[in-house]
Amino acid sequence: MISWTSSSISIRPVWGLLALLALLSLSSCASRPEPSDGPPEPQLPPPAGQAVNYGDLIAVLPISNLTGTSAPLRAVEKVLRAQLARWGFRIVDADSLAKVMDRYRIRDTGGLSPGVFRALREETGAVGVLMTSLEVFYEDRFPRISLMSRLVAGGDPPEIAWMSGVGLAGDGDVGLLALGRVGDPDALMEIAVRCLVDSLAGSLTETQALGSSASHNRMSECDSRGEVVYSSPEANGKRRFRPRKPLGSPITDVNRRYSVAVIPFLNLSQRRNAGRILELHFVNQLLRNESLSVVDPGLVRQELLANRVVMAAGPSLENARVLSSDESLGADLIFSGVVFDYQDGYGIPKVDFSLTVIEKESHKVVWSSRSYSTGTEGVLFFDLGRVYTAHQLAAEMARGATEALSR
Amino acid sequence: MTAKQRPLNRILMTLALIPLVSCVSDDVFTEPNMDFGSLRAVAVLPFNNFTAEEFASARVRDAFSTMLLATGALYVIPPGEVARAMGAIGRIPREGPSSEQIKQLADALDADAIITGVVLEYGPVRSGSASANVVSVSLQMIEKASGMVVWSASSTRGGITVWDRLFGGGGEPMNAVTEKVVNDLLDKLFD
Repeated sequence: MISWTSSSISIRPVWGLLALLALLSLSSCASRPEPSDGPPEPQLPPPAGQAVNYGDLIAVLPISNLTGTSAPLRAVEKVLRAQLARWGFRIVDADSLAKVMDRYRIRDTGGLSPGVFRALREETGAVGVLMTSLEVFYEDRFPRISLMSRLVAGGDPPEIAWMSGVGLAGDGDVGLLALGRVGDPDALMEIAVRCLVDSLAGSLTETQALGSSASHNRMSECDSRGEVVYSSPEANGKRRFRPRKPLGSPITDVNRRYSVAVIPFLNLSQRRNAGRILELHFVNQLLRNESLSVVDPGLVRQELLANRVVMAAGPSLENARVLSSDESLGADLIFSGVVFDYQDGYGIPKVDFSLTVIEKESHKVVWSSRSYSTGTEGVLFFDLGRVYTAHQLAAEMARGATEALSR
Repeated sequence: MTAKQRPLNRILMTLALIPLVSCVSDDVFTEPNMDFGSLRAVAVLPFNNFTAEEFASARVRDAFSTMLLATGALYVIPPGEVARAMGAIGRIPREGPSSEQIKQLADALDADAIITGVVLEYGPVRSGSASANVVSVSLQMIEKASGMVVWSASSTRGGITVWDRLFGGGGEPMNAVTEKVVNDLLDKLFD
């Protein structure tokens, strides 16, 4: 009897802890929209501009491979389509899409020209195009996967309606007693893709319900456990990921809406496609800034190709001139930079890059900064705050740089 | 010498050796008749790389350009623009551009001066079981109007300290050492 009493006393804090954890999980579930059998009825008229509404027909492009090696792109696409179907998204069938892609000889599925957007809309009825890039896929004992996805509304010009990324490591943020450890690459892929699609669905339903433009698409992101988290646009990133030297002239005119184009970064790292990966990270973070209108990377690439601009030695005024002219994109600010290191293999991730911003009006560099960090920088005790993937690290650093820029 | 004095002498000798062991060295030349206040824009040419690290010169040049621009004292022409101008004027010798080429480059870039440089060391150095990162850079500023070197400086930072020898640790990260070198060079430029 005595022993029972003593054991119940010792168990009480454990039960309290468990109850608290259960409440926390319930509250986190409540903040996320749940999938339904079909698209909901619109509550308000579609917002002005080029928003894609939940229930509109969208085209899902084949996965773009930025891993630098062979990867199971079809498997990822299959999971993506299944997750979209779970939410009741209307998707252009594969045959119709393949016909358009054959006719217009689309090989790079990481971005489309305005003409192809128009053709997709006219020939398939797709209002938006979902483009997904696979950054990393390792299927060793503890798999890793990183994905970046964006939905582009195919108007004239096309605009990004939603964008998000996810980077997961099977042995990453495993939680208490390592219960969150994932050893199956397919399971990790499922978690990552599910998070992206949940974020997309949540953003579109919220935008539609609130009747506002793309601003509400910009608050959701996937955390290191593959859960959608909603953050305020005013929420600041961690200080340790900001540029080491916040340099140059900040953009001060808060009453103005700047048009921004991001050029693929010059890649001096050992990692293939690191320049394009950094470009996507910056596009994703810049979209969260309400005062910026970010040009889709596909359009930037199209303009650079059309004008035969090759960035062989870093940002130049010529690149800026091409993208800022009113005949092309008319961008007010051109973001570019150099990637020196992008280590996303096993071990501690490391990212090192510099950022340069050239302004259209003055035709000068108005911002220049350097950022470098590792996954364990600033981590003192028990891996608290450790970053396990280069995707998460690059996302935090890009966020830090864009925040410093708008200060 | 008594037996008590011997340990004291050893400590004093060790303390005297510390500055020699940790790599810190300075060299600077400034043209006394040069008005540095008249300079508005400079172009930083790609640095020569005398190290085994492939992109050492690109890393140091990027850090220097960024931090020089951050001072607000000088405008630094973007690297892509410099590359375009260099491509237009033809091959520049490894030893550095000629006076004629300096003039052509400065005219094409609308720059008041050209900065050239050499990265002499970039990477870890070892001594026994201890290792640490070291960066050594030498820079020159050549004025457009005269075609003369108006400022030249070199700096070395990092290296194995007594602390590294005694307790290990591998020294500071390469980026931190690079920033120290660049800061030192900027101090010498603006002093």
